[in-house]
Amino acid sequence: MIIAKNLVKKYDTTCALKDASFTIEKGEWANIMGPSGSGKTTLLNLIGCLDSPTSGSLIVNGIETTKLNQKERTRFRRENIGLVFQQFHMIPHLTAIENVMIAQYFHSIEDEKEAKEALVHVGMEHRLHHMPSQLSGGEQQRVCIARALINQPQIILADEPTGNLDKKNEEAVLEIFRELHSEGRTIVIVTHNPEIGEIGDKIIQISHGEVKY
Amino acid sequence: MFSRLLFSAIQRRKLRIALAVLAVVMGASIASTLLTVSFDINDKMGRELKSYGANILLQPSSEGAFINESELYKMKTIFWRHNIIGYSPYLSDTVTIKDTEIVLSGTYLDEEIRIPGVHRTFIGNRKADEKEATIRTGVKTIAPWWKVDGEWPALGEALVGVNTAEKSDLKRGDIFSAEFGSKNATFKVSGILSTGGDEDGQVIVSLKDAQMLFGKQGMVDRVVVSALTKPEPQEKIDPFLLPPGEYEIWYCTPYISSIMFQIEEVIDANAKPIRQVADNEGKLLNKFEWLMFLITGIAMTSASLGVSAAMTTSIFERKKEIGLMKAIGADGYQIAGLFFAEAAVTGIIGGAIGILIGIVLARIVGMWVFGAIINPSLFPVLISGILSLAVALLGSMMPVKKAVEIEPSVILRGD
Repeated sequence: MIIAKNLVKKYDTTCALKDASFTIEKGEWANIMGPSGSGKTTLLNLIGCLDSPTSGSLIVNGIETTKLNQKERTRFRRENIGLVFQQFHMIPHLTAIENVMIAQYFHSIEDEKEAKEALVHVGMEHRLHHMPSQLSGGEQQRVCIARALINQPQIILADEPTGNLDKKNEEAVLEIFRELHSEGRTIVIVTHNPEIGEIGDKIIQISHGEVKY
Repeated sequence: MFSRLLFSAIQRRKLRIALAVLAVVMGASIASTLLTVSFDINDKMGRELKSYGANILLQPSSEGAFINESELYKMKTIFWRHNIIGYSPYLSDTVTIKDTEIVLSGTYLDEEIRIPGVHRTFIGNRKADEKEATIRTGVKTIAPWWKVDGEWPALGEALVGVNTAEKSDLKRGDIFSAEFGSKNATFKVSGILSTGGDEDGQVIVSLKDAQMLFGKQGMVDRVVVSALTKPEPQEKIDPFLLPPGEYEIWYCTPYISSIMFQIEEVIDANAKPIRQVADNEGKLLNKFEWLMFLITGIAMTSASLGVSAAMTTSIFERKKEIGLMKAIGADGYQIAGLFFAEAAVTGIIGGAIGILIGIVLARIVGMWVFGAIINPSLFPVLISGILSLAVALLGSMMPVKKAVEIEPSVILRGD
């Protein structure tokens, strides 16, 4: 499903990722773990086609993504990847349901009913028309998960999805991920949290840009 | 979703948008004012320029001959008769006043001339009035800058040029005798004339008095004509060598050459352009037009820079939002579309306000500078509208390019 071979990413003279090679099978839950600045987010950026590697090979869903240009990477990302961020990142001037529908708009066409169902699925049916500033951190994260899922991506990439949540909200969010995993989706989570590390099928450990697993 | 994104972005950044709109308003109002004035004023300015002198000189067709005064009305019967603003015939010779030789000129001061035939006015297709056609012409019409200290002369009275008055010690109310050969005539000084030209050293009387003194009734030795003309093309035109189609166009265009040609068709005289005035007039009108376009260009460029600055700030502030939109699937066209739509709204609002201000300003400029009402016409309004939209879009090009280039990874990097 995701096959990385000798993946290298350099920013000017700094080498953020050195010869990273790993495989994540379809439907697997993989946690990328490591200390701050070790290259976890860089690796997630590459898998999500948010950035391109300096060298190496990265096959996602059978496509060699390192050969795609920026336009093709955008198309690939919206067709195949759902992204969840630590800082939630909602458009502040759109309501919860509009924040989900915007992903539909960029993908193809908006469908309010479907967006509502996605929010119901993450337990946000009572907050559909609330602005982000009126939602708690946990609620915002659930909206972001609904947005990540709305276009039915095969792969969910999450960067510290519970990093800004309290214990109760963390558990609620992890429960959603468990459910998605049981539906057969591939989940890749960047995390510091050893408890999350125990949940997944696989841990990809990174240290100073080097992958060990 | 597109309109929701657009209007919520505008609503949240009212001040930035207001600044961009203000930049377009300023550019559009200047463009609209100048274009409206420029399109309407050519004719009005032509008339203004005419007040600085005649542009055609008629001279007898042969040495020692004269022009028949009774033929002069025919100038008002040619194809471009409405462009003949006025004319003034002259008859001059040297006379002796107080033992000094001085040039005495007779001319029309403000003469009513009858044009044979009738003058009809219409309301729609219905004839409203029919009366004998007359015009008033003379130096008062074609040389309005003549300054008379006193009264304009009646028959038996004279205007004395300011230099002559000083040299011959003549004042208002004085009576003097002018000798011409064996004849002489007595005139009363009705006023002292200053023109800044040759007339300052002459004595000006009515044409009839001069014809009587010189014994040349019904004759004049030159006529100066003031006509509204259009700048001539650079190359010299010989009407006899033109193909019929081009000849028609030339004949029906108010070039000074075609008006002179038409005058020569009806009056036995040679017409010559008073080059300096005619050329300068055309050049000045052209320069005026270029100046208008130049100022419009500068105003629109400034507006474009204003929009660009406002848009750059807006995009810098929304960097994360743009990165997020790209991360969740927006492509470059969708991002560019959003910002160009924002710029288009700015251009349309700014353009509409600017055009309205421009129409009012054009009227004020018209009244203030030309003493005439300038009415808005569709063409300058359309051009100003298109220019406003264009500057808003052009001003946004560089900032939008930067927006499109924002990497979606800024979201995860936390830059």
